[in-house]
Amino acid sequence: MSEQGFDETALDERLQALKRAMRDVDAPARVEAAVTAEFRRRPAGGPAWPRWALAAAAAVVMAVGAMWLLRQEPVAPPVAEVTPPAARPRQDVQPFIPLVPNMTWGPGESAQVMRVSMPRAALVSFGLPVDETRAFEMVRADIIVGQDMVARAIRIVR
Amino acid sequence: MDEELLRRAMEGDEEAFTLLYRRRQAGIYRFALQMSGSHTVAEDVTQEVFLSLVRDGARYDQARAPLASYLYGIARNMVLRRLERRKPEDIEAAGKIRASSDPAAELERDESIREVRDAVLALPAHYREVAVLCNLQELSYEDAASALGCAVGTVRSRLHRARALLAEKLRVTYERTRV
Repeated sequence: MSEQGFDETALDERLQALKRAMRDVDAPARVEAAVTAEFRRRPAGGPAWPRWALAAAAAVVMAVGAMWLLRQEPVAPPVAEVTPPAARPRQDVQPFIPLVPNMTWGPGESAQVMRVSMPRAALVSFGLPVDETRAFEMVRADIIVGQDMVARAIRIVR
Repeated sequence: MDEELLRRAMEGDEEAFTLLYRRRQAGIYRFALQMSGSHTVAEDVTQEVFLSLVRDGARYDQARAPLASYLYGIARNMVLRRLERRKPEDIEAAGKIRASSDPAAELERDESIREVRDAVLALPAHYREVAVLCNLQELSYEDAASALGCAVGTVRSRLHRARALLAEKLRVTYERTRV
């Protein structure tokens, strides 16, 4: 310490002393117990999707519903039944992926194919894998919607 | 290392999460304690930082900052929010950092440490955070800048000013004790 006051060396010495005094200061054990308990409560099976992805998925579901109610012209003509993907292979689309198990149609029941655009992140709500680095890109998809307005199957259009 | 532990933790590996917690909890706790002077605040902030990691760890982007800086950044925001809400009497109550009483032989040393601690706590928050991160937590300027969301040059200039303020404060204390 200089006679004139506090020099850099003296300041560093005092800061080092404070640092040494706190060398063994840790968070109480109850903090570890609390965060570990929260970790165990989190959903298993991989990373949780961020809120914006879930919001995007919800928005798409609402958009599909709104399009169904408000449409003036159908995007595609109604179909009496879903054609098996193998019967009409196309290079620019992927096969339909069922969204409900055992997709069957009752007698006289019709369905409609709707083409929509959605953020790639929304595909996660349909159980499809999503590259998180491209989550904000828009993709086109065809969705089969039954008379009951329940989405039955989806396919990605390239 | 931290990033790999987080990746495994986000896949459900509890052991990895525990290891990550044990590697980083002390630094976060001490940072919050040195920023606030309160064990209560430090405990709450440490818990919230890691709960946040449990909930939103998948959003961490390794390309933007090291995980340690990311955690310090969360802690810093939480501490500042707590300090904004804190009443003056809380600051007084938060004065004691060392939990146990000390032997008389250590009184002088403890007094010296208390003076430095009080001088750090008396710094304006934007100077205090760089002094704590760079001088007490020993983060690099780059990592401190990542944690604080500012430029490296800003860290350098604030640290320079923080050290000048600390030196002045301690000089006054020193001269007072010599009278």
